[in-house]
Amino acid sequence: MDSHAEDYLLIDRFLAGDEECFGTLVKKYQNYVINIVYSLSSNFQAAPDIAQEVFIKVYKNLLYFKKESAFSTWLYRITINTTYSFIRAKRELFVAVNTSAEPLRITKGSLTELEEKERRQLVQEAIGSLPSKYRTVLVLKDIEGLSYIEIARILKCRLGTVESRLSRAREVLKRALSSIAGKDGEI
Amino acid sequence: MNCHKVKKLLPRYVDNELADAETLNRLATHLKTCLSCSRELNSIMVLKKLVSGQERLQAPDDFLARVKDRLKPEPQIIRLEWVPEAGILAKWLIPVPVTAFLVLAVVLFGSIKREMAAEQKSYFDPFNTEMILSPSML
Ligand SMILES: [Zn+2]
Repeated sequence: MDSHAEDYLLIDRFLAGDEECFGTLVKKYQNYVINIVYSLSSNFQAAPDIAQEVFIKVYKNLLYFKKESAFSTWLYRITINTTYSFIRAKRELFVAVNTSAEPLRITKGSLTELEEKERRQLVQEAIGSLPSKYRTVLVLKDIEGLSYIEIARILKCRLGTVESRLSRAREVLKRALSSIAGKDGEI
Repeated sequence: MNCHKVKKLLPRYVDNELADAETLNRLATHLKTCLSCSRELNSIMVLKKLVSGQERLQAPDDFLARVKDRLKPEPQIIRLEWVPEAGILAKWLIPVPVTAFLVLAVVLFGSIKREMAAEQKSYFDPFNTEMILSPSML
């Protein structure tokens, strides 16, 4: 059975009263959801809470889920919307969280590990500074590894829109990251 | 295939979205000989690697338990069921105690005033200042 059919079956059984099936869905998708939330929000501390919120919405709305799309498409859409409403609501708090980000510790690990951590932080900052429509497409493509068609379905837009937003995202990111990518002499 | 066409196809190539074998072939042929397009390909690949190399988070072990906790009905949710009736409640039930209180207050105040007047009449001593300021009279 493919993943989509399996999801539909779990949903049917959940709606018929088998609560365990909801747990199975959560376990199956929790890491995807948490990572999308984190990549879009850059908020490490809040990511699990926002992801929980996503699944609460799923629980309450599964009854209205029409099997016109894959469950994952619907779930990713809820994840993106929930994350952006959180960002809008907590914008001020976000600034506080980001500026008080814990300093890098040198006690453990080699210098290259430290550099790696710094680099990841810079990349995350650069992703976070992208306008949301570009950020979303970039995260779904390069972090989640979804196909153009899957992204188009999630965002309810045309394939060409996905492609142009992705190109734009990469252009902006390339400029923002030229200093660190320049170390490899590749960008 | 010219540079313009190749550069347009490069993101699809990097993203594994080019399925057509002939297009792939012609693209590869061009890349072998064109430095400009190869550089652009490399640049997209490095960027993609940087972004996709971000740390993956793991959901905490108690993730599902926390979701279930938050789904448990709380007393507040039960109270929420009364919300649609709140208008009716406000219309009928709130004025009742308020009116009752006001009536009671008027009656009580009236009787206290009368008592005070009675007390003042019977015990008032113009030479006893202590009595005038006694808290029981205020
Ligand atoms: Zn060329």
